Amino acid sequence: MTIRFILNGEDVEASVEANMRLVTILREIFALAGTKSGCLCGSCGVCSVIFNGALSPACLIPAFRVQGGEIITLEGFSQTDEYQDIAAGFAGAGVENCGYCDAGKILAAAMLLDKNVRPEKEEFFNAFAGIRCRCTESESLYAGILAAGEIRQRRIYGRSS
Amino acid sequence: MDVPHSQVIFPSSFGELFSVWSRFPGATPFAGGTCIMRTDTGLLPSLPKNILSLERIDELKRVTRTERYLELGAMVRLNSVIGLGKTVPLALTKTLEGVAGPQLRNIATIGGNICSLGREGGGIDAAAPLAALDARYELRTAGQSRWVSAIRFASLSNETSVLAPRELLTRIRVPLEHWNYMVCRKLHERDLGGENGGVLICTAKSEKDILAEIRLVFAGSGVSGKSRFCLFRDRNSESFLEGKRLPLEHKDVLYFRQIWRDYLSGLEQPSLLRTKLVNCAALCIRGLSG
Repeated sequence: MTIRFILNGEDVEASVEANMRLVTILREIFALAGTKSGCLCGSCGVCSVIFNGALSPACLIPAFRVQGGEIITLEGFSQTDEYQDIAAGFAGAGVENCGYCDAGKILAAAMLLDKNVRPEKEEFFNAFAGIRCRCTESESLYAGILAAGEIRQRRIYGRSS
Repeated sequence: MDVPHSQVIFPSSFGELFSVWSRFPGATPFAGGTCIMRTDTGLLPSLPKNILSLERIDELKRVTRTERYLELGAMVRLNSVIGLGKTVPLALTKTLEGVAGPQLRNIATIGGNICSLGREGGGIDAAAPLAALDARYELRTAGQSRWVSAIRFASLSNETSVLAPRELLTRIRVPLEHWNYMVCRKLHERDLGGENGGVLICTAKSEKDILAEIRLVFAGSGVSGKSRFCLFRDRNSESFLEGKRLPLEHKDVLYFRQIWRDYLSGLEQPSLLRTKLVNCAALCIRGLSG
């Protein structure tokens, strides 16, 4: 089947099998390797993408559901100011880049900061409950999120709150 | 790898759905798809030959609220239910918050969670709170619709006959009553020897320090592991507590525990699950004993 959708802001189309996973489409057809292929059962979070405005595991989305949808991957998100805020916040808090879970970690941070630029710890744990990686301990990650929120506020309003 | 190709049909109304379904009687309705997609972890999962995608039927995504009920369309995402906040009874919100991670909850649907009971990879979480809250489900065929209670739906889920041929769960009606007390305990499979797990819900309401009503429901994977489902609710123990003055006396908690033990001993369940359930039920009730 041929599917048409918006990928990182651009209209695209691809000829795929209906049962192909979105993660496979992104990696093999569009060569977007930032979305990793992990457990393929929605548990590890490394294949996270923003699908129709919500953070979703690309491994559980079959090709036919992508038709007419909008997808933002880590590569697309990295072109935004919000990404720069998160990158700067993470760097300041000592959160290292991880070749495995960056897509999940950064996109989860973006969705969390969209809701609340100063999330409570409980909100933070809830938002990251679906990301399984041992690259960063949670205290640094939380500090990175708060720092990113501050940077975002300063960029938008010229002050931190 | 040779995987059979799937044909996907996108009906946009119930009329269209049932008309297509009568032409392809073996077609499988596809809601969030998390259960189907998780079952086969191959790079190219084998999906059913004919798929009826429910994505474009707007009526299935509708949420309505009256004074007495909250009605959720079967295609409402789990995170959307949580996002409704205080409109939703706490027992349901707390249970859904414990379902997998937020990413998965963004695509899994409440109807899918209910209909995948007892299936490999399926969810069991929504069944306990919906049974405890006396929710009812609308099941629709081309010609008619019927309402089934959550308890009846769940207890029939081990059979193949819960849904009639070409019947679809379309709405979930949750009564909006005020419960003063709610405890939700999730029993993980790893705590129970890797085979069983589930959710225990206790809701209670009191009037003038008298326990007016209490419901204690467990829903989980049953005796033969992940593929079967069980739901326990013992009305004897509930009626023993109803009408008692709060806080409950210690002897009442002990007696309640004994009734639950007797109830569970009559069921074919692993002893570890039985012991854990008796202890958890007593812990839930202890919150009412001051």
